[in-house]
Amino acid sequence: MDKPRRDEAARKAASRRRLQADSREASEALDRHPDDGWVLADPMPMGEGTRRALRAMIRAVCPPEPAPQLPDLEDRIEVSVRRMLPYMPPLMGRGFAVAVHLLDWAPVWRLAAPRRMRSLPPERVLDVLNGMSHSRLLPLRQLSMVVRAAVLSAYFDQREVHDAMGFVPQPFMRERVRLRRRLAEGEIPGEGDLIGPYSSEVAP
Amino acid sequence: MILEWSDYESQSAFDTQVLVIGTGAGGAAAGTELAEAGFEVTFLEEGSYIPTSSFNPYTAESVPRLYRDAGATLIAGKPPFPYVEGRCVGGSTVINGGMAYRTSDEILETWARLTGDPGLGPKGLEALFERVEAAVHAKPQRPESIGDDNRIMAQGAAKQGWTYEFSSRNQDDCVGSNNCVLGCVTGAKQSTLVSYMPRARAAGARVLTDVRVDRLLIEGGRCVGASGRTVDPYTRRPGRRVSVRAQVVIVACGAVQTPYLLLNHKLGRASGQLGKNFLCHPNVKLVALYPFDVHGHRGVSQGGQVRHFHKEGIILAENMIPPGAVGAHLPVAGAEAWELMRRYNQMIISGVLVEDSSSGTVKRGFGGMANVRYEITRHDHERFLKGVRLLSELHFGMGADRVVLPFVGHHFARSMDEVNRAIAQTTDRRDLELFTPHLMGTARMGATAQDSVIDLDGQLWDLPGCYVADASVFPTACGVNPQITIMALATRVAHRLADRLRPARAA
Repeated sequence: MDKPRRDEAARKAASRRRLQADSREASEALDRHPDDGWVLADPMPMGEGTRRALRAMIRAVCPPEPAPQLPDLEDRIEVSVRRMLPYMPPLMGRGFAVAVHLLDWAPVWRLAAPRRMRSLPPERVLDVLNGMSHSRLLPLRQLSMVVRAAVLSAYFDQREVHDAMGFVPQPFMRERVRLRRRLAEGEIPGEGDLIGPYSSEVAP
Repeated sequence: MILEWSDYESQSAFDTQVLVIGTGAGGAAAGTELAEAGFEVTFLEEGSYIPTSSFNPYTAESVPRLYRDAGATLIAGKPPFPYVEGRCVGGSTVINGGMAYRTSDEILETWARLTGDPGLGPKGLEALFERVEAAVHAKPQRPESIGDDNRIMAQGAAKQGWTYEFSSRNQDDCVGSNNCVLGCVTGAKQSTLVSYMPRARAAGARVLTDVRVDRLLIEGGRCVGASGRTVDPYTRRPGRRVSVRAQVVIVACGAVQTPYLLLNHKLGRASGQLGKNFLCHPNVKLVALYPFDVHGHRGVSQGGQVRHFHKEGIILAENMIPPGAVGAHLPVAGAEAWELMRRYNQMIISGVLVEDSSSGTVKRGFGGMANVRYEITRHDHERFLKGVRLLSELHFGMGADRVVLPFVGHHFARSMDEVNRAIAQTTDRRDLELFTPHLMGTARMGATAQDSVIDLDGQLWDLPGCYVADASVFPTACGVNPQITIMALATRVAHRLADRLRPARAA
């Protein structure tokens, strides 16, 4: 069996498992991409020019050091943003690409620079976007907000970024899954099962 | 039995006694009641079946799995603002905060008066509320679920002399994993995915997932089913057509998608009310930063609410969300974004919910999108400003060193003086950053075809065989998180429908 067909067969088998799973049964896996047969859509196709413009905005919007700098940051964020678009109505997905083009030309039509965003350094791109986000004109604010929200949502969902922020949810959630199982078995919870307080500023 | 997109290659036409479109609070409650009463029930659900074991704390994958349009749903108006609703088995109950409040007696008395039906009053709905609350285990939280953000809100309210009430939530041994908005990982939150739907399946109901219904089947002036298209999971383009013929159809797609579907058939003409009276409890978020770790992501979301100002239509509460979701709402980018987010563990995300004083509309828009319009009033604007001031007082009173305000151009404040200056400068309604998860009231229930869309049994006045059982039937806003009221009204619709269908079945 060739690889694509094998993958498809594996996905269908996993899908069967998911459909038969008890909806109430918790798992300690908490995987980012659970092997459950649910298919994440392909990234929305985008022209090379649009992608170059989007990547310029990604470089500008994502925080610089000391925030984590990931080697494949642009790839990850771009793919993550493009994967979200097929889930929206087609008009909205295409509207995002149009917004990227409009923003690409924003330095020119805002008379901020003689070049498009894709050719500007990240700091200049961010200046233009920030200027738009403080505009009195609502459509301009929204234009910059759409791209900023899409990029930052993807950036702050990366594992390395979570680690740097001290947000490590799995161990806590696994412990909570186990606690609930213990409660279901009739165990009386103890002091150690309480959450916090994490600071002397907060009374228990 | 649950079917998904790949299953319709072998069968794409189905017959059933009762077809329920939607598996959220309304659809699941109505369908389960009917399935357990012995009727053959089939659910049609646009989203996928995602069991508890698949939930995780990552936004980038959970949002497209669980949210309509990957969360990119917008209400047009001044200002425009996003709304969210679920698109999965369990609907919005899978992604909501799990609040289990009854609508107040005062509002229910208004409903009874407006409709002329005492059954919609406090006494009339009492037994239904009790039934629903038992089904979803509505009760206050266990101590083991309370985190520091809840404690700070409760202690802050006490310091200000305000009433703070611990929330009744639909939960069974919730231990505060705080993943409500991306699917409860412990299975404690009693969304319809884990409460009603397993009961419906045990009673023999069939669940057809991954089908977006785009039209009702109407023959001889009567609704006899519905039809929709599957979605290709790789491209998200429409695929094979799936049809279900039924004796009766219950539409439970929510207050936006229900009118969107019904307007396709030009229904509700006598009253002209279909798609009108859209209500949404708009709210704003306020992020407070403390000089110590709070770990707001540990512990239940909205363990309680400040209800001291409820009479004025203002509720204050915390509502922690994951970093990816916070990132989407940041008012800054680059280094400033990191400056805020590196303090994620010191954040409390809180909000001001305001009861509607106006209403909007839902119409069919271009490109398969609903055109939702809603504008807040000057009175709402004033209440939002007051709510933000009160929340800021609470947080600064508890030691916060900075707050991020929901005002365009005036986002940051380090003291109450700065908050008051920002409030004074936010004179334009368009400068509020609003948001809502509560959608209600677009196919309202009433006593006559001239002033409502559906009758007191839940049936459309102008389409026999078609019922509505979701938040769109509310005569007015319910003033609290709506799911318990949706379930109670859906149960009422199901019971009345069962009474109608039983003699026919016996014959």
